[in-house]
Amino acid sequence: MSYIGAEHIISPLGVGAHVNFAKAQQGISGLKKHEHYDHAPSNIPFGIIEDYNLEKGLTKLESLVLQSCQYSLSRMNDLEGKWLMIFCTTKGDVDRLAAGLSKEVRPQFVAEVVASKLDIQMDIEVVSNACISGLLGVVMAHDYIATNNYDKVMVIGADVFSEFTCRGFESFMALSDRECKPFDANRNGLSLGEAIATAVVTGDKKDFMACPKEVLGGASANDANHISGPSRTGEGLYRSITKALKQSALQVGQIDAISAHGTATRYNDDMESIAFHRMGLTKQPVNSMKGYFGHTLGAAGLLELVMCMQSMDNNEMLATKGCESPGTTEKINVLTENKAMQLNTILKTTSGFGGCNAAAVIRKVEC
Amino acid sequence: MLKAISSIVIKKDLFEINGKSQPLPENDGTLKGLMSAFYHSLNMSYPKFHKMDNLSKLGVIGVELLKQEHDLESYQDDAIALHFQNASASLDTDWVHQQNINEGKAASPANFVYTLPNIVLGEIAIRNKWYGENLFTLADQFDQDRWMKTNQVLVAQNKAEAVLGGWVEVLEEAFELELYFVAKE
Repeated sequence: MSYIGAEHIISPLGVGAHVNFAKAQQGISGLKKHEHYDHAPSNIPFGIIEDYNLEKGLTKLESLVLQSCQYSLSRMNDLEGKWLMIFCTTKGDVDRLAAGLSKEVRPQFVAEVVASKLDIQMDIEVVSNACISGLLGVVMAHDYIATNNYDKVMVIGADVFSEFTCRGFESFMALSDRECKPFDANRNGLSLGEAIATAVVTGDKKDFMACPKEVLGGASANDANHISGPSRTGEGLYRSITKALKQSALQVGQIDAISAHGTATRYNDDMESIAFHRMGLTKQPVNSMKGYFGHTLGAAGLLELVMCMQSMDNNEMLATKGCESPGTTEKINVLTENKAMQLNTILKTTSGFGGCNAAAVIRKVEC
Repeated sequence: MLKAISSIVIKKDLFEINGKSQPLPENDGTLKGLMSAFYHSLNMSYPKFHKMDNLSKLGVIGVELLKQEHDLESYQDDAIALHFQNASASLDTDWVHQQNINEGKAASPANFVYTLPNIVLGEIAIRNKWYGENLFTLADQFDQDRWMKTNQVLVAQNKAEAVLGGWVEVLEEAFELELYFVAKE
């Protein structure tokens, strides 16, 4: 059994999980065109954090990760015990690569810098598993706690906008020329964003100042099909959801809502609709957070799970911003407006390059 | 308890199967050439191999060699977890993409797709039709005890019956593969 809490977000929408949820609840998006931002094409919207404080001697990514960790630690009643940090990212500080190959370009360097500045000693694990990284980190944290390997785990999901990633997705022709439209019939690609999300996973709900959520379980699975194209049968996502439900000892009917990956590329969203349909998850409300934040890559899974935690506190599943008329291969219940509802269990899913998929289930806790 | 059942080690001038030294296939002294030499010595017929970056090639070759030592066909298609680690992530391929940017050239989608370290897991999964757990972690050096601890957790949580993986590192011409198949004793 494990609990997740002390959650925090830094995104273009602002600082703090509550602030981010409140903005999204009002339908505000962090995506916009940037006229004067280095390396961001001015005719395409991106979700870039413009208002932030740099820590002395640290990069933007290191500064924001440190600040987010410090906030999460400040929301714990009890800091005792053996800690692990799981730093989840696709590219770390890849901007450094423009100056050449160096040890500082390695994503683990960011984790080491941040860990050295925290008051608490932590072991470090760095997960770089494409766009499922953030959710995979939570699943790992849950598994480490459940097997008594650690007392407390700080999970971090973090990726910043970079020319490196932007130019790559441009070459794939995967970027939408307007704010992305997840699950919409007229979607035409993703929007890139940046965000930092943190949360702490422990075995005791009393460790947290505010009531945490329970992590019931999660799993990953590969499509075994293609390294960049989504599976036509949604095989890996279907299998990861099946395993996550088994880990959680839940039936399909016990899932109240789904926070999907929903990148707004044609094939990804179709693939997800096929996997949900195969699972019999066609009635449950589904949303994607990409219209508020863009695709935040390694951060996405944790960022969007934190938004699910906020949804539980507010008894409200948010609309899929950008989706006006849902249109996917299989019909699923995409939310186009905010929906007030009881949320005891939420399924969170992610999919990424390399054919990887991850799913996890969280449950509301009475405190 | 999990135990390493088979191992493949390929480093510069070193090739071992289950701890026993083997002759390297004849090659031109480059990493790309060595990978081609292994491909031919294994009689592989897998055209996709030639599109892969060196990191994926090294992982795929390691698994092909391991399959000759240990029968993995008896496992269900999702029973083997893939858990690899390295120091340089996908920097070997990232550097090619970055140089294109630095020189004002167009980015190559065929190259960009390899700018994530877990792509090697995808290539191994596709080649073998394995649908199991995937995990790619980064560390400056291979900590085998730590790697094994995570494997114990995956098995204890009933997510896998066995784990295939270890250390797969490539940066320019420097490379190291330490591949293990671990299962319950």
